[in-house]
Amino acid sequence: MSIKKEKCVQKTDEQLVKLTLKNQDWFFCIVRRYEGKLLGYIRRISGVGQQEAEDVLQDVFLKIYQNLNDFDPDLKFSSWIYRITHNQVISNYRKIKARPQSIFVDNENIFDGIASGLDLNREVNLRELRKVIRRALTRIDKKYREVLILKFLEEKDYQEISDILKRPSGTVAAQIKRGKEKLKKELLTQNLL
Amino acid sequence: MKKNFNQGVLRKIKERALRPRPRWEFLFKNYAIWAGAVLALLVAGLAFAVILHMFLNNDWDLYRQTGSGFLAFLFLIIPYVWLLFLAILIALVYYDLRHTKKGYRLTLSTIIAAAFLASVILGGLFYNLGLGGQIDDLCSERIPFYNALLQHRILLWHNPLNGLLAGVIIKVEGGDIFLLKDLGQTTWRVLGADAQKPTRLEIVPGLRVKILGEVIGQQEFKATAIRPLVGPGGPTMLHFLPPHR
Repeated sequence: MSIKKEKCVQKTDEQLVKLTLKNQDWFFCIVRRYEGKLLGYIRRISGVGQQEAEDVLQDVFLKIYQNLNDFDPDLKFSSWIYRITHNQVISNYRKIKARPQSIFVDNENIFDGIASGLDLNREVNLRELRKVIRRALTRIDKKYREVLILKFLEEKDYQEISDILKRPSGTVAAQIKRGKEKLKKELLTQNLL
Repeated sequence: MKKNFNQGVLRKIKERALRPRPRWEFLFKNYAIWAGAVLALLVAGLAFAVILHMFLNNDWDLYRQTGSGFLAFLFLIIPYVWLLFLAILIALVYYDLRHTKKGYRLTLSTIIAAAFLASVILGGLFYNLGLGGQIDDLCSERIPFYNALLQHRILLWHNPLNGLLAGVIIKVEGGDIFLLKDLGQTTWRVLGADAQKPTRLEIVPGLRVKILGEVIGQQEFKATAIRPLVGPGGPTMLHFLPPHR
């Protein structure tokens, strides 16, 4: 049996999980719903290219499928699969300790959130500003980069970030605040502003 | 994104004949982590009961006799080994709780404070049930290095020239005069007729006692107070302590 795309739209994530546990063909809907978002996320946090990111994404979906019974409905499904994705990326790149050379984005506008969050001088050319933020993000500590990417580029709220990174929400809030300060400092010290 | 990436994922699942892991596996793992946390907390409670036992059965009123200040006395009687053990257990509780499904939502300080409070409450309960003393005695008898680890507490009583003596009664001569082998294996003749002692304390061979008093002659000690020697000690430790100061 193959599932029609239209049928996917009508179902919530939780319903799709239950349906997939009965019939694996429904997993198609989950993959379809999240493949774009997760691919972008993998590229943003790892800095790898499209092909490599797709390989990681495939492993992520296989892991999600195998661990479906571990999904806790108290969490948002998206938080849960972002967590699996995050962990997979970490375990893939732990050995080489890679740091992204540039932050991948599919839409430059998403940097505007960071720019307004940093309370930067808006007189700066917006296009230039997006470019420098993108560069500065690669230079700050991983723990701050992770929360800033989730907050501003993935547009997750504090609780979701806490659930994805498995950190207390108070810690997440503090890291976002500190991360913004670090980013601003990085922009200033590198004369990126 | 490759065309039909999603179909590719499904194909891989079928090719590898993957199946979702059964729910019981995850439940089992989660329950095992919780069981580990509860067990560590119970043992932490027992450790706290022993610490409580050691503190409450200390002769706080006697610290002046030791010739040291209160702080120095305190540092001498602190049961470091048990405190270290308690700290390890609390760290274990933290590790376990942090690995439960929602454990990451709690901060380090919250978990540590809650685990410590729980071990204090459990420890108080276990102490009232007499477990603190029993565990201490059991460790003293069964664990070869236990007495050595806690000997600094007992050594406090290995100071006859300052009026502190401890050991095992080896012979009773009558009229509250007895022979005592001290922690350095020196035999003392103790005159205990005028000594204060708990009403239920019976001077018999084999009894471990600590004695306050003064040296009145060649290996002769006049006791002003005799108390049972609670805690680590006993015949085994007589073999490793140095001669008295």
